[in-house]
Amino acid sequence: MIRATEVHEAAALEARLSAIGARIKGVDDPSVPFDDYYTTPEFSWLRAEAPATAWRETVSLLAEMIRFPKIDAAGVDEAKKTMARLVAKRDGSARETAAERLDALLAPGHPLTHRVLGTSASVASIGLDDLVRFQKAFATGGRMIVTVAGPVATSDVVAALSADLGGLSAGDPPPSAPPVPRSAVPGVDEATLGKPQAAIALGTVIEFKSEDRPALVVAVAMLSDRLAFDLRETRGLAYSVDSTLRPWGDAWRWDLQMGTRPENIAEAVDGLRQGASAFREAEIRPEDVARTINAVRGRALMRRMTRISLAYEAGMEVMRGEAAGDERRMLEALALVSADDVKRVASRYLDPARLSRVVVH
Amino acid sequence: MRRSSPLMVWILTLAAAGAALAATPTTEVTLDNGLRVILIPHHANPMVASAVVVASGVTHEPAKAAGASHFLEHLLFNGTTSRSQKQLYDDVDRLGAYNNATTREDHTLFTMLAAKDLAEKALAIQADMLFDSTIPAENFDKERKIVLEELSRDRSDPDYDTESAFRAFAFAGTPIARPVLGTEATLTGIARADVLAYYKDRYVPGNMTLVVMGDFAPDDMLALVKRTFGRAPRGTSKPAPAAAWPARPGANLATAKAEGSPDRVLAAFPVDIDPYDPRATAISVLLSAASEGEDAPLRVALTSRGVPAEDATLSLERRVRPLSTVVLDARIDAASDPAKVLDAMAEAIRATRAGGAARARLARFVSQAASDGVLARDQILYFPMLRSDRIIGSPKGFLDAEPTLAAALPPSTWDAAAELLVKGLGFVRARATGAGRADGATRWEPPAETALPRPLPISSRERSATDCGTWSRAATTRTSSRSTSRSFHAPRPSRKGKTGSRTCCTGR
Repeated sequence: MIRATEVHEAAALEARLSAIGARIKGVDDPSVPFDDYYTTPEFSWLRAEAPATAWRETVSLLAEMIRFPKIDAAGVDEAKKTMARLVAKRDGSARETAAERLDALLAPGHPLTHRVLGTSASVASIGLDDLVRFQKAFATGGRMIVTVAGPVATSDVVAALSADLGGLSAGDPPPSAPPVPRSAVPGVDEATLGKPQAAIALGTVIEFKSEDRPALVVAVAMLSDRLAFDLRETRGLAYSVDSTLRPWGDAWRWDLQMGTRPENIAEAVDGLRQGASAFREAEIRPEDVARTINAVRGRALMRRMTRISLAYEAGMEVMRGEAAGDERRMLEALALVSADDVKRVASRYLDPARLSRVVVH
Repeated sequence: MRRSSPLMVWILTLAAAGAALAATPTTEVTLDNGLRVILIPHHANPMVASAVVVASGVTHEPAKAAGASHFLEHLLFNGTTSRSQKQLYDDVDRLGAYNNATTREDHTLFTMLAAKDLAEKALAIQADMLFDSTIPAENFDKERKIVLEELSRDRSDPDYDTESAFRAFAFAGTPIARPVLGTEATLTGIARADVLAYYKDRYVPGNMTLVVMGDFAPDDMLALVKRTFGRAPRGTSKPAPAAAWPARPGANLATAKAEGSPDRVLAAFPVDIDPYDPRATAISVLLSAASEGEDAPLRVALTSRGVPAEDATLSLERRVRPLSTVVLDARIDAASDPAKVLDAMAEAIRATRAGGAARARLARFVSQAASDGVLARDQILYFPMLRSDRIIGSPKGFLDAEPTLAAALPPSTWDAAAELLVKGLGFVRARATGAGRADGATRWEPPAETALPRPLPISSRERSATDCGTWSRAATTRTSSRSTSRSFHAPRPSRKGKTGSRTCCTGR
């Protein structure tokens, strides 16, 4: 829901955005499956989509929401009720609980493991003054990245942003996050929620040479496909099972995750571990590598078909300190990955003995 | 060097209004085998998306085989007369294509996305799955276990049982009372022979509409479609079993205890209308005007009755006639009276008539709908997905006109739509749940109308002015997509009222 600013009441702001055909989204939608991409410990976000004919007013309204939000007691109370509901839903999710507990095993106390939605107690304790202070400290030029995609001249966009957001104070630079611990001994954790489906999460922090990233991306995708074919398509133990590689703080995370009914937990955990071990020993055929590269590139290109996706990717590159176009170049580099490369990086980096494990049932 | 958190990332995307619409006239033909084909050129990316809407959903299933459509959708990814399951998956991966499917109440939707120069191979695979699947006996029980896992996953969310129980009560006597996924009992009882018979019955070209969208010349694509989908035998296309709404129960407001769930009121009433009828478009927009936003009539009506109005929506669920419904979904506090929520709903619905508070807000929602239409049309994979509930049986040219339909409706259509909504209030069925609610049922009737409409909040009197004014402004949408490092999932059109939809990622 759009909230009021010092300039517009909420209803008037909503009306204006609707009238020009603009949409602004600032939170994940809990009713949409897997719409959890922006509930992340790394950043807060706002997303706007509008017809090109209305781009200038959309920028103005967005800037107004950032610079001049109306933070009052009634609005805070209402937001806290919404937050409390989201926290309760999150607390009841086996998948979310498993992910949180795995994070905590891998980097105890690290800011990346803090709950984005908070806890019932922390949400209840937030006051009006806290939010006012937070807005002043965080809605600053030094913490903000704006990315734009669309049929508008760059110079016009820069001029508009300078006019509407140039008045923001630079603010303090973001604090440096501590490094993620690298040498954690694999941990084990378990919790009971009594849900019809259990969540299994295995993961570890890894470091690798940057030139190995394309091969590692392919290796993890191949492992994911093999796990899915074994555990899902052959044994029927899961609706979803996969392996992922993703940046995590100043390091990377290699994870395996799966949902399964409680009676399958032992077989599923064993299957994940065995599958990861077998992959390191398996023959890697060039035709399988070529097929996986096509699949990975196809999925990545599919995610870059819309302007909002391009803007998102550009923003993430800036935030991660990458050069513009790095993600595209990484995709191009996949074409050079060989079966030997995959074999080498799997053996070197994908060690199942390093995986911590959480089961929530 | 990595910038440290926390950090505000601000993303702005601009779409070219109208450009996509003006340049993309569609081609519509019906092949000799009965397959309806809609071709929509769109040249923004060198890609082609193929979507097949199959008239196969719970509305077509025998009651004892509830969940068969969704189960069958899974099974079609298990191998064909020319491909094993592994070959099927490998062939899709080799193309770098995306292959997936979704089962909804009255149809199943298959989607394939590939680079344009690989479109023929991709469509050939899709046609192979749809017409030549073998439903391998050796995979049947494995796939049943996967569907049971999916059901377990969904049931882990307390909302699933709440919504299933609501559907069973509100839609009792109709096929849509049954869950799309089926139940443990029905899934366990389905035999391969039942599914095979159902497959032969439903998966014939005459029960399908193929929508191809992307970077192609229509004549070339039509020839390609004939080479792939055109080879399927005609078969016999059967209509869905007749459905009708039984009389409303005397006690139409049920209450039930639900541990671990927030208090919630779900209510529905039928609207006897085809999903592609222009009045359906009008109803969708009117319901947005009645329920969305800070100054929405529904929110005002709830607040005036002392019900905290944090999250309440009204929406139209479009299905084949006569199964479309309007659904109210309201999260309330434990102390609130569900009957007051329904009273507020009635007031908001009545406000959609000429002179009402919702009608006074209409212009901006028409503009929003038009904008939504343009943005949806700009996304070749999502557009058929977002419109699949209104494709079956739609008149020729419907998809071309649909994105800007709301802006072109005459006042008489808005009036007729509002009257349908008001009439529906006499058929409401509702269910309230919460940890403190007791099991029971009572009768709710819409309250008598007051002589004068509730005064509008000042902010509602903005420029919208009239409900028959100049709407031909910029068009627009409400779709979304995102790019992330994680796996892809398509967005649902809206959270509203999707109490039975199934978005299933069968493929990879």
